[in-house]
Amino acid sequence: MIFSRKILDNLCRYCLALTGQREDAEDLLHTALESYLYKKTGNVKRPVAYVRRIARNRYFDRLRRMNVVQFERLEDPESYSGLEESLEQMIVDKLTIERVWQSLNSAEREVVYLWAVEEMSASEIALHLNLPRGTVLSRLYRLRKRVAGKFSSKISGDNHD
Amino acid sequence: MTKQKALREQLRNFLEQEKLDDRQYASIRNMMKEEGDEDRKANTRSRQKKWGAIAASVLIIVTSTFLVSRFIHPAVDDREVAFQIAEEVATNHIKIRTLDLETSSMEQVQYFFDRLDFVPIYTSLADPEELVLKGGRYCTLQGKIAAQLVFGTQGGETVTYYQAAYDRERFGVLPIMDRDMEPMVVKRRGVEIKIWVENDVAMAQARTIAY
Repeated sequence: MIFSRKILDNLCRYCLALTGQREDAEDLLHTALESYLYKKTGNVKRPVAYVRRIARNRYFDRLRRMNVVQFERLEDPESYSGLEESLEQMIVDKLTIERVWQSLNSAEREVVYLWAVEEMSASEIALHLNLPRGTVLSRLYRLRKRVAGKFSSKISGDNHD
Repeated sequence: MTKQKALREQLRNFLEQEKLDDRQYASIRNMMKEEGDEDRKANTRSRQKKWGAIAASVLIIVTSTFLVSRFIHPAVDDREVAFQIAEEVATNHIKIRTLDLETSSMEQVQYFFDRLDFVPIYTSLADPEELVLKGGRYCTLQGKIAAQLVFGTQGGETVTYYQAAYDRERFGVLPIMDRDMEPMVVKRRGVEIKIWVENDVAMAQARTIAY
């Protein structure tokens, strides 16, 4: 199967969300596509999701080999009641987004990418990544916290506009 | 203050700025196209198998004459394929991606690279006195799965080797070291590339040209 440029661009963005570095993202995408091609996956129903999963698995396997482990507290999903709605209502500027994105770790970037670009809900993301919904919500919560923190500090320190 | 938008839209706009450049896209497209051609060829071969016996005897006579002349005078398109291989090798040598396996043991390399149609070997061009194995990774050559082996020298130079099962249809006619032929030498982007066939394995060596 030959993926269109649009699909390849989306896969590139996903790899960039994981790695945070353009060169690493290109490397990861190339490796994932090679793995997909040589698995002879004629019966894969959703090849794009399959390649994304390959990329994800390779990336986190590499982190584990490097002993880079990101611990997260297990949260009760109920404690994030209303989080998704509040995220939908937040208004921000481009500069804040750039700064917030830089401050996220790879697990958070992955969830934010799926929420913003693939427009998945927290439940859909949890299903897609095989994660507890509470874990997904906690990552989205950190996004909200960082956006609110950076945006308010930007406003308080910026009296010129 | 820059224009404010909804968080999701702002994030999407920010993330969708990133895209493959033309070089990256061409590289991936060529890799995927070659793999598709490989599958189509395999299907065609299986359908034509029952007619092969009758045609084979005639073909052998014609082909052997043809091949002898091609070895003496490689056709223009064979050299073009070799130049394409050199271009790929130069790209992989200049930008060495993360290794799938880091090791100084060729035995581990042979055990690890189990997706290849052959067992990676120390080529006769690799001087074990000079070169220290650092590891390897899977790659492709003209769409065929291959191994990239990375070596270092005491002087800090990096030498890379590429091995893929030799497929004459894909790689064209290449010098065969087992018949005392000299490797083809091509220079691309500051890299000297040698290309040859050894033990039915298409091989390439890349070294940065020292000025």
